[in-house]
Amino acid sequence: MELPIARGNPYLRGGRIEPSSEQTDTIISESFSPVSKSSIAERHKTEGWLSATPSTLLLGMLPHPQLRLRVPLELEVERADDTITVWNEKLQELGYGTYLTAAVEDFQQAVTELYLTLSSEQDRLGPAMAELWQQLQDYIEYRQ
Amino acid sequence: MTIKAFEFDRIVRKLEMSTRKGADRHAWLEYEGRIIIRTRRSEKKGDLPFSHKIRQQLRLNEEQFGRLIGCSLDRDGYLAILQEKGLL
Repeated sequence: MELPIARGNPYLRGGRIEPSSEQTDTIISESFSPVSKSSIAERHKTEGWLSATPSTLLLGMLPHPQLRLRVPLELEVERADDTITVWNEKLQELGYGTYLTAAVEDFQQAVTELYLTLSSEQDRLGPAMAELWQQLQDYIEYRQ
Repeated sequence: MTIKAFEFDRIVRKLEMSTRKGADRHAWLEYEGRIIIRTRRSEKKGDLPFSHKIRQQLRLNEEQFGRLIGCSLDRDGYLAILQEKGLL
């Protein structure tokens, strides 16, 4: 039985909306025209496109069996070309990656290594590193 | 200000920083047996993203960072800046 809605309407055949040939040409040209990452980033800014990358996130754990975070670390997220960076202002540490998860994992490794290094070198830290060590202890502790 | 990977490596050599090569490159500045400053970069070649973060880790302003990249600021000059900031 033929659906009444499709009868007599050139855009409706078998109950589906089909574009005209002009519309098809437009869709194809928009779909396959080369779009650079920078132009996408520009359209995010100028046209208010929503981004799937958050501007901040909270990190809740470190991938080390002996270390735990006392409180979540706030990470600022930035994107430039094909790299995402996460940054914690208090610890002045960053992580890089081609996607967000990789950047966060890189940050976790960097902070873990930083904590273990400063922990083992506590007796010979300059003022800036001693201050950083204090900051690290506010956020990280050894598991009991 | 963008810094290239080879410029970062040149800074590390010029400041006589200790390095450890892993997935990323960590660099530590030691002075009179104490660890003073640390920084790191990814193993990425070419332009390093977010060079201003590296500058912050080195505790320099943009003008000083520019001189460090441009070779007019050497280890002694850098240590003098850190001394002024009370970081030695």
